[in-house]
Amino acid sequence: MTELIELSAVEQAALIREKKISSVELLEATLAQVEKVDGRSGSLEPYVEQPEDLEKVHAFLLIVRDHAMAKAKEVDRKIAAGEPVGALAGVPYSAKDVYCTKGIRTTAASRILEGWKPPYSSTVIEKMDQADAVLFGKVNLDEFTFGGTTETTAFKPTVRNPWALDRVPGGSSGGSAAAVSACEGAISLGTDTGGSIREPAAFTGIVGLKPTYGRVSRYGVIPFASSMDTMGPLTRTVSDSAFVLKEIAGFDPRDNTTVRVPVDDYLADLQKGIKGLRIGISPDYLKITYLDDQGNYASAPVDPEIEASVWKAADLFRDLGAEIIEDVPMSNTKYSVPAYFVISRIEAYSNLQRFDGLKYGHTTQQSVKDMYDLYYKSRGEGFGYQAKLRLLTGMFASQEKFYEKYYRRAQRARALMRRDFDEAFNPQGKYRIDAILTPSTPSPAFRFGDAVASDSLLIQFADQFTTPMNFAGTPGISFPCGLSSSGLPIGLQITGYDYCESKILRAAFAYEQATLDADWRKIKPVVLR
Amino acid sequence: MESETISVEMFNEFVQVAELELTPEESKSIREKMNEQLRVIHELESIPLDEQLTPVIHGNPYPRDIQAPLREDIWKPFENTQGIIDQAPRSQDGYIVSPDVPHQKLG
Amino acid sequence: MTQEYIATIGLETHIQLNTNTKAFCSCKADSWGDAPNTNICPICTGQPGALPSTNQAMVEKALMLCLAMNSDINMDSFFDRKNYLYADLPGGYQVTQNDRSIGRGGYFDFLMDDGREVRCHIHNLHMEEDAGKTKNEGNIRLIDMNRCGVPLVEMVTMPDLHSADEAATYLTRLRQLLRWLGISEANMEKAHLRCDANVSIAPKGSTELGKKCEIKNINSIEAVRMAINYEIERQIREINAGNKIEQWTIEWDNDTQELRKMRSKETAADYRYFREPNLMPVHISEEFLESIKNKMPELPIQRRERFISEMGLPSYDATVLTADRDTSDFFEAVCNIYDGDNKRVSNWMMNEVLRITNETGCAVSELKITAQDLADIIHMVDQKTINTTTGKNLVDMVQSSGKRPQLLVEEHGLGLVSDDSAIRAMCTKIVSDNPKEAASYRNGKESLIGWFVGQVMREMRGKADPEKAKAILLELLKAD
Repeated sequence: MTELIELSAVEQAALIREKKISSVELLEATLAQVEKVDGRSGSLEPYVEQPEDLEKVHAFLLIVRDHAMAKAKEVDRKIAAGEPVGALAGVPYSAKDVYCTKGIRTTAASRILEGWKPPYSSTVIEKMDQADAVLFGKVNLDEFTFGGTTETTAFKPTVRNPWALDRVPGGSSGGSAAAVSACEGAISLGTDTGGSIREPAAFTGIVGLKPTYGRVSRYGVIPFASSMDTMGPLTRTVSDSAFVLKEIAGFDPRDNTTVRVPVDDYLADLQKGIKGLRIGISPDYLKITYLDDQGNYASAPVDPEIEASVWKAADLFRDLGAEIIEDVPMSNTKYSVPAYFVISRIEAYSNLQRFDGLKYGHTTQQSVKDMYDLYYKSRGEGFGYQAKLRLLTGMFASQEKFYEKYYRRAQRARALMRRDFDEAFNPQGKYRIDAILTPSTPSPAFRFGDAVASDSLLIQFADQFTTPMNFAGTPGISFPCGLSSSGLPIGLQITGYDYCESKILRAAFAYEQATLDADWRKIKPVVLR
Repeated sequence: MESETISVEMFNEFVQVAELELTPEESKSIREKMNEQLRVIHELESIPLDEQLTPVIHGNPYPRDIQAPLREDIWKPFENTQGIIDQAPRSQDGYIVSPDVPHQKLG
Repeated sequence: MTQEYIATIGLETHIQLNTNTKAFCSCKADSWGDAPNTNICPICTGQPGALPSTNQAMVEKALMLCLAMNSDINMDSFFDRKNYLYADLPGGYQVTQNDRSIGRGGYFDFLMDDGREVRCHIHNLHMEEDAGKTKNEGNIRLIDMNRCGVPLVEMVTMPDLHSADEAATYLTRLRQLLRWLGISEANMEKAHLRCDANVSIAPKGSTELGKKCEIKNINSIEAVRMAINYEIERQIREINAGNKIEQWTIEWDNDTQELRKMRSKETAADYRYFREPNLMPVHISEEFLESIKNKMPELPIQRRERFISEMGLPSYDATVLTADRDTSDFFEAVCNIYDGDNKRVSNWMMNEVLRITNETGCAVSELKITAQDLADIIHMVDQKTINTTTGKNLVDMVQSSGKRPQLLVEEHGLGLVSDDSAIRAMCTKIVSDNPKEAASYRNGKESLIGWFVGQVMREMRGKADPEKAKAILLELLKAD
C-alpha cells in the first residue's frame, strides 16, 4: 500500500470513515513527514544560512500539533461513537498564513504582524472545521502575498521547491505548493490575486484552483487587492480540488461580494466527462506581450517545451471527445497589465493603512515624539521592501489629481478586457467556448534571486497568463502535464466562465485520468526520492 | 506623452504622508523602482477606450438576483472583545494607548 | 467709520442614526454608558481580513432624511474609502460616500424665532461610519473603539447661512426634524449631532466670498453660536490688522471653549478616495423607495402651516404645538375627539399638558393622561358638569392616578350641583347669615355679588354651578 501521506484527501477521508485508519494516526504520519523534509521554520530572527537549510523545504511557519491533535481525537471519537462527521473528517490540511485563525498566530509573512493572534477565524477556516478537516499548520508566503516566488517573506529561510531545491516554489502561495508537493498534507489553502495559487502549483507539479471571484468567502483572509483576491485549494489531485471546493464555496453574509449562486457537487460532476466540451486556444496566451523601449507592443514566445505541452494536451482533449477551437482572440488581455497594476497597487496601499503599531502586531521599541512618530517608525520597521514599494506606488497612483487618468481609466480598461471573456464564452457568439487552455506560466520554476536579478521576459512576466482571470473574475485551474527536459514540472491552465468551476475541474480531471500511467507521473519530487 | 518622474522631494513627501521610515538605501531603490513602474502606469494612457465603456469595480458582473442583500439590523455581540484588546502593544483600563498628538493653540 | 462685514457659513452636519447596529457590522450602535472597547468586533476595529456589510436600517433612515430635505435620490449609490491615518480610525480609511452619495441637492426651510423663514440649500447627503473616541491623559491618548462604525449621515449645506444665530437655529430645527422623523435621538450632549462649520467673511456689499476656515467638532448648539462668533471676530481682527485670512482647519475645544489650529498633518487634503471594493452598490428599488415614502410623516413645518390655515390656530400656538411630534400628534388626537373649537384645545394643551411635561420632564407620550381624557375634561367643563378650576385640577389628578376623569369626578364628588333647590337653600342661608354685606349690596355696592357667589361656592365645595348661584343670589338680594 502507498504510504498514508501520499494518498489523496479523498482516499484518506475514506480510510478514516471506514475506520481503517484513525485520524490521529494520519496526523502523526503527516507531522512525521514535516519533521523529515521541512527543516526549520521561517523566523524573523536574523537569518544565517546553514548547510542543512539547503536540503529542506521550509514550507511551514508554524505547526499547531496540540490544536490538531485535539481535533483529530474529536473526529476519531465521533466516528467510534457513530456520530455524523463532515466530508473531510480527519484529513490534515495547512493554510497559507493570511487565513486568520482564532488564537493561532497569523503573520502574513510580515514583521508588522509580529506576535498577532487573531481574535477570530476566517469563514473558510470555519467551514473546513465544520467539514471536520484537521488544521495542523500555517505555511509561508510572500509578505502580504506580494510576490511570485515566496522570497519576499520576512520569515527566513524561505521555501524551496521540492523538485529542485535551488529553485523557487513560486508564489505567493509557495509554502502551500511546496507542502502539498512534498506530501506534508494533501491539502493546503492558498490565495490568488494574480496567479498566486496557479503559478506555484505549476512550479511544484500539483493542482491549484482559483475559483470565480465571489465563489468563496474572503472574510477573515488578510487582503492584497480586495477586488481580485480569491481563496482556493492546492492539492495533488483534481478530485481533491473538487472535494475541498465543495466544502468552502458558497454565499457568506459576512462577505458582501459572495454570490447567491448554488454550489455544484463538484466531485460527483467530475464523472460527467468532457464529451462535446468546447475548449479554446488563444494565440494571445501563447506569447508574452510587453512594451519595448520605443513604447510599442512587442511579443516574445513562451518556453518551447511549454508551448508544445499545450498542443499535446489539446490533442489529448480532442481524443477524449472535446472540441478544440483554435485562434480565439483575447487581444485586450495585454491591456490588463497596466490596469491590473494600478488597481492592485491602489487597493494594496489602502489595505496596508491599518497596520499602525497601535492595535496589533509590531510596534517600535524606539522612543517616539508623538503618535505620528510611532506610525513612522513602526511601519518603517515592520513592512518589508515589497510592501513599502507597493504602498508608495499605490499612494502615487491614487492621488486625487490622477483619479480620472489612472484609477477610472484602469476600471474602464478592466471592462474592456472582460469583454474578451464575454465574447469568447457567449453561448450565442462566434466561439461558444466552455474553457480556454493556456500555459500556467511562460516558463518552469526559476532559480532563487532570478525574479529580481534576471532580465528574462519569461520571469518578469511570469504572471501574464494568470492575472487576467483575477482581473476578469473568472475561475482557473492549473494542473501538472509533465516535466521539462531539466526535470521541472510544467503546468497547464484551464480557465472557464463565471461560476463554471465544475467544467474546468472536469476538463482537468479528464486530463489527469487519461495520463495516470504516463511515465512522468512515476517521478517524485527530489525530497521524496 | 512625456512622463513625469517622481522627484526626491515628491518622494520624500509621499514617505511622510505614508508614515513610512525608510533607510537611505530603501529610499533610493524604491524611488528608482517607482520611476521604472511609471512606464507601466503610463501604458494606461495608450489603451483605446471608447467613451461608453463603463468603469467596473469587479471583473465579473453582479446581477441583482445573485447579489448579497443588505444586512438586517439585528444586534449580534462579538464574543471575544477581550481578544481584540489583548493584541494591543499598549493598553490601559480597557483603552488602547497611543502617544499624544500635540496641538497648536490659536491666538 | 469701520467697515461692516457679512459672514457666510456652510455647515457639515454629522447625524448619528438610531439604528440597532453599526453601519457595517452587527455590534450595537449605541454604546452610551458602556465600558471602553466592549462593544466592538473584528470589523469595526479594523482587524486584518474583516469585511463590512451594509446595514439596511441605515439606508432606510438616510433615505427618510433625503426625502425630508427634498433631495434627489441616487437609486444606486456607492461607498468609497477615505484614506487617512489617525488613532481613532482603526481601518486606516473611513467608509463613506464620495463619488455618488445617496442624496444630492435639496433644501431645508426653517423659521427663525422672529418668524423669518430661511431656506438653506443642501449640497449632498451621504452615509458613512463614525470614528472612535480618543481622550488625552497626560502625554498619552486613550483610544475607545466603541463608537467606531456607528452609522452617520453627513449633510452638507450650501453657504446659505449668514450669522451664528442662523446656524444655531438651523441646528435646532434640524434636531427637531430628526426626532420627528424618528431617525436620530439627535442628542448633542451625546454627540448624536455634531457639526463642522465653514466660515468666511466679506465686506458688506462685496460679491466675492472671502477665504474660508473650517471649524471642526462643534458639539452643542451653544458651541456653534460661540465658535462661529469667535471665528467671525477673529477674521475681522485679522483683516483689520492688515493680515490675510489663511485657509485653516480649526478645532473647537469644548472643555476650554476655545479655538485651536489643527496640525497640517491632520488636515492633509488628499484622501485618495476610491471605491470600497468590499461592498456592493446600495440599490434602492422603486418598491423600497415607495415603502419609505409611505412611512414618512407630515413634516413639522407643513404641520405648523396646516395648524394655522386649516385648524385656525394663532402662529404662536402652531409653533409650540409642533415643537415635537408627540405633542403635535396628541394635540390633533384631542381635537379629533373633542370636535369643537381647536383654539380651546390648544389653550388646554399649552396651559395644562405642557405645564405637566415641563414640570416632570416627561414626553407627552409618557404621560398617563390620554387624548381621550383631555377631550372628556374639556367637554365636562363645556357642559358645566365641572367648572374650569376643577377641570384643571382634574388634569393633574388623571396624571397622578392614571384613572379616567369621569371616574375621578364620581369618586371625589366633583360634579357641579345643578339642583336649583339645593343651591337656593344655600344662597338663602348665605344672604341671611350675612346681613351687613346684604345691606351694602342693596345700598349700591353691587360688586359684592362676586363675594356672595364665592361664599356659596366655598360652602358647596365648588360643586355649585356658579352661573346658577349668581342668578339666584341676584334674585334674593333684589327681593328684599
